[in-house]
Amino acid sequence: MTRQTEFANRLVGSPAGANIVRLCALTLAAILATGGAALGFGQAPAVTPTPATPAAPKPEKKAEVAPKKKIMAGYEVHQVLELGGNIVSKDGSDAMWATMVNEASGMRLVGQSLTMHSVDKSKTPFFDTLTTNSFGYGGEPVDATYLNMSKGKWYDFAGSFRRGRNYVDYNLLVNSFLTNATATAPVLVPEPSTLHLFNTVRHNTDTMLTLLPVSRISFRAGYSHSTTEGPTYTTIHAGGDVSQNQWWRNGLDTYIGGVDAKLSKRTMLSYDQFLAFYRGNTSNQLAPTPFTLADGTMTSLGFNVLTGPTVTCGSGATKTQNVINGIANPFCSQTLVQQQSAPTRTSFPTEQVRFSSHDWGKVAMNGRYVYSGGVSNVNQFGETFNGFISRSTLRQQIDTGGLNDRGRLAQNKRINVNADYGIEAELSKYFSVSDTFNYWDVRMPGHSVLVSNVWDNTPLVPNGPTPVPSADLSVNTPLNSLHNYVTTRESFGYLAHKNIGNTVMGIYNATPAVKLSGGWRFNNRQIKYAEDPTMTWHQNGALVGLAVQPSRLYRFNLNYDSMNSHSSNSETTPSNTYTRLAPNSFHHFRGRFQTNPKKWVNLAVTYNEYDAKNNDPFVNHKEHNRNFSFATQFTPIETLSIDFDYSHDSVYSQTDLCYVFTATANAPLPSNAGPQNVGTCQYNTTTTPLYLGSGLYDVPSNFYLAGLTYTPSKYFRFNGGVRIVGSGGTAMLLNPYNPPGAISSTVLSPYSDLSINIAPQWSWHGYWTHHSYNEDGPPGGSIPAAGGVIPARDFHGDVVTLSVKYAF
Amino acid sequence: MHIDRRKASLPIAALGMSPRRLVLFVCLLGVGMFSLVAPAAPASGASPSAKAGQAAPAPGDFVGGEACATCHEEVSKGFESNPHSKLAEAHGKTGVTCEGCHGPGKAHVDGGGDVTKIFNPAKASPKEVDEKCLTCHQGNHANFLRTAHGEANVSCVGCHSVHTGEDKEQQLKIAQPKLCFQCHTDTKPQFNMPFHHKVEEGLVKCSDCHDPHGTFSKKNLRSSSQMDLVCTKCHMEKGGPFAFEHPVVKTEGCVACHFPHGGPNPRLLNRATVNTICLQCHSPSMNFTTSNPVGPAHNQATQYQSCTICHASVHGSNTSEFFFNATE
Repeated sequence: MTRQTEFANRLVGSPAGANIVRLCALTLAAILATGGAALGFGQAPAVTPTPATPAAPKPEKKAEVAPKKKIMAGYEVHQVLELGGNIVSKDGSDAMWATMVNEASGMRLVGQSLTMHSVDKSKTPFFDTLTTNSFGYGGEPVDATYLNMSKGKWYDFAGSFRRGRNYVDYNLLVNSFLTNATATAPVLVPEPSTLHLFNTVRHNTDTMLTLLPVSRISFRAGYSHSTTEGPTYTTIHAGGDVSQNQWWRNGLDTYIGGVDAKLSKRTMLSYDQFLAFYRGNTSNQLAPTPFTLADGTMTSLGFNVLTGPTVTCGSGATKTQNVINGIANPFCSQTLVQQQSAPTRTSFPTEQVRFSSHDWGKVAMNGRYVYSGGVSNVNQFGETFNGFISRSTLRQQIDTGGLNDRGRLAQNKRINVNADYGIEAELSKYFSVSDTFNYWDVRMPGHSVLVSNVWDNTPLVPNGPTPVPSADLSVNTPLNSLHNYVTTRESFGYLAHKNIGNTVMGIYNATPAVKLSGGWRFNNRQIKYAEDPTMTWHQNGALVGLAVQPSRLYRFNLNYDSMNSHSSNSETTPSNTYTRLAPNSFHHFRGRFQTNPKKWVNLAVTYNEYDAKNNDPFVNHKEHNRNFSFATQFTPIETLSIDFDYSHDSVYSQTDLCYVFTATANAPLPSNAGPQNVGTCQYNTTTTPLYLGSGLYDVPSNFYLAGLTYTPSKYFRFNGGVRIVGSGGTAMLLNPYNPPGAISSTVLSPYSDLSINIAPQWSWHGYWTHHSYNEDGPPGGSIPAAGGVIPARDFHGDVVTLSVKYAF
Repeated sequence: MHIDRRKASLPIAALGMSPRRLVLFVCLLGVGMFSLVAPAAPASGASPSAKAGQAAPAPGDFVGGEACATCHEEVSKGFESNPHSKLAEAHGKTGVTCEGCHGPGKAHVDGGGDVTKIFNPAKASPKEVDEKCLTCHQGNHANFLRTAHGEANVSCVGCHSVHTGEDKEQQLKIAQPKLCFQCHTDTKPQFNMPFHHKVEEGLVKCSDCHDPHGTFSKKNLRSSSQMDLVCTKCHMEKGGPFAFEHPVVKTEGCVACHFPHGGPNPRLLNRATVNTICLQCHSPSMNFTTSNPVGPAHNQATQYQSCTICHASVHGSNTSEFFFNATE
């Protein structure tokens, strides 16, 4: 557990002192301080319960020393504030440090918490209980605030704000590997980072207010706000795969209203109305490049340039290399302008009715019905390309939406009807049955109209310009010498997915300690895509369970479920699954054992095995995920606790696949390349030969956690340990220059945490963690002399957090 | 009745029933079968405390919360800030307090604190605990008994502690994710892999995606407010709907290509390279109609090393049927 979650767990610090420090009030969120100050009630004396009956023998043991209460404005107040800072030292890959750790030096609000409980609820009209806690502000990649308030039977409020930075620059992701560069023709543009680098921030705000929570009718109102925003890179196919700056900017606002009505003591009917509004404002434009035309205009030759300067463009006297001294050859494909704006507005009004009832003694049932009809519009669409694509002779294209006169590109819908029903019936003390019915039907029709204004050198058209000789075509060709025309492309899309399922279970309580269950699950699945006929599958599966709990000290669970999928009609549904990667059968076995045989030892053991396959002879898909893990905790003495966790996880998958590979001197055919045009690849419909591959992914990993907590006195607490995650896998990588990367790596994280109570209410806290990431394989890339080696991803670093905590 | 043995994987499928009627038939058949074979209930071997709870208590059997505080002073004081205390304010402030959960206390008090005369969740069976808690909480946790935790006898007190506990708001014994990892030891390592959802860092909670009390979905997964996969609550831009859908995203779900918790591959992909994910489907096959990428432009030996260099909008696109970022 990191220090953030550990702090959040420790809501109460050392005993409150006698003095109120002004700083404690100022550190509160403004709304909390305003709410507290507005109360204006005087302190109420503590309530002393009077004995109602003669004292019973053996009263329970009281705490040794009752901490003094801090009473303010009618509330018992506890606060903790921890301020400090990080000191970070690292070496190795900055990109991977930012991707996996993303810690930097600086001051931090390490943690804050406030709890307020009313001492006389009749004198605190706004709330009886308030709790809030925060952590991470000041520069942590994750920071959050939680707030909960309640006033007896009147309302409950829960709110949270969470922020997370997501930086991804794993340079093996979407990397060309520069395979055609040579020592004499080195790369022109190095590719040290992933072409799809992400640096976004996600904010999530969730609030829910429940009015009259214990009344016969209660109401709920909630609001959620989620945004993701930040710069990223992406790539565009045209013009030689150019790099784009993409400003990621999306948000989702959800308004929730609901009412719960208790029709009887144990029957409830609920209605929920959801209104979700999505705003997609992500846009992109050409990323800066190091190349220009002769007149200084910035131009991008795309990642085609990585094929090396042996590429020539033009003809006759104009035939030269694609780039000379940073000046691009105008006869090569390139991009001067590439930008797109596609504002998307989607609304999802959703209605949900739920009921539950347990009024008939041994029978309980519940159900829900949901209708959601979402509409998505892409309005004021605009995309502009200006440059030159030699293959299509395109010189400029301006796209707009043509669905209406305001540039709407597309209108798509998502209609979802969902109905679920469940019932449990206790037939006798030993037997009960349950049944769950699910109906899920989603349809997504789409409609788009794209209007394109095109300038290219298409052949002679009536009254059109005379085509420019192909040898003269370049990025400098004037637009007025080209053929300009408008095209309209209208598209209709449709995807429908319906699932009707039922699960029936029988439960036998052999003894109070032993429970057996068994059942059958059936699904009828239908998918229709575009003009394809509707395809239908039947899925059947068995479920078996065993729960053994002879006492509170032991619990043992075994569960098994399986599934078989078959086409219901081989004529319209030739396969037993919709996709090749989906299994048509699986077996899933889980065993869990927990025991607490003595107060000083806890043990939990899990075995989880999932095996699946698609036995279509032209798919040959097999996969498994097998995990054995355990977690133990020993507390041999009151002041010492030792934890040890271990997990072995084996993830395996293979699927027959076909791929193109034209070997070159720099990229020879991999030694494990399969034969051509055999197996499923015999159904190749082109003249390009296809190699058969296994798609192997075999990555076992081991996880170790060892830690101890030592608390010799109330003044001193030490917690230290180490986490190790080691993956040692192999996979089919296709590209001979692609190293294994993180599938063969070790993550090592020793840590220590020291807390010393330096004075009443004050404690000092020092936390150290080391982050180490090492890969077993090479960094990757092509010939080093050609500059094709990409930076290694290993890193090591230490993060030291020093803080002072004050509890009051 | 015609039986098409070619199609029947089970005899039931051969009956020619529609799925809806089939489901109804099986439910009725199952209930009937169990009714026939279930033995008569023997003499109850339930614990005395459960026995005491089964008969409707008389008003005089209740002693009131103040009596409980006489011996259980610390617990009673702490209860003032407990969410359950609002029950006391119901019904004109004569609502239930301690005895609402523990049962009538007169016999316990008269017996000098006889622990057999009061309901103690710590000593009761999971079934008894679940029945007790679901008396009030059935409405919001109606799926509990039918789903994994309920069937596994985890019981409410497996995670919750009304009087003690680290997480006061949710009445949890210890906070997430440590609570969940106590049993789900196989899941904790996934959140320590190189690429993972930030659960251990405190950004994401297990309950953001899973409802531990059960849902109608597999693995107790929640739905987003727009009734889509729960992933789209945060990854909202992936949900669409799009003019050009990538069917596998909607039909097989996000886990067709991604590990949901964590893994060694970037973007939590379930393969080391994107290409081997795509080629699983996009390979020629007799029984599947997915188009396959062929030709020099898709030569794995050239610089076009990743499918998503060109097909960047792989979750769906409004501009390109080939999931390019641009309209070409």
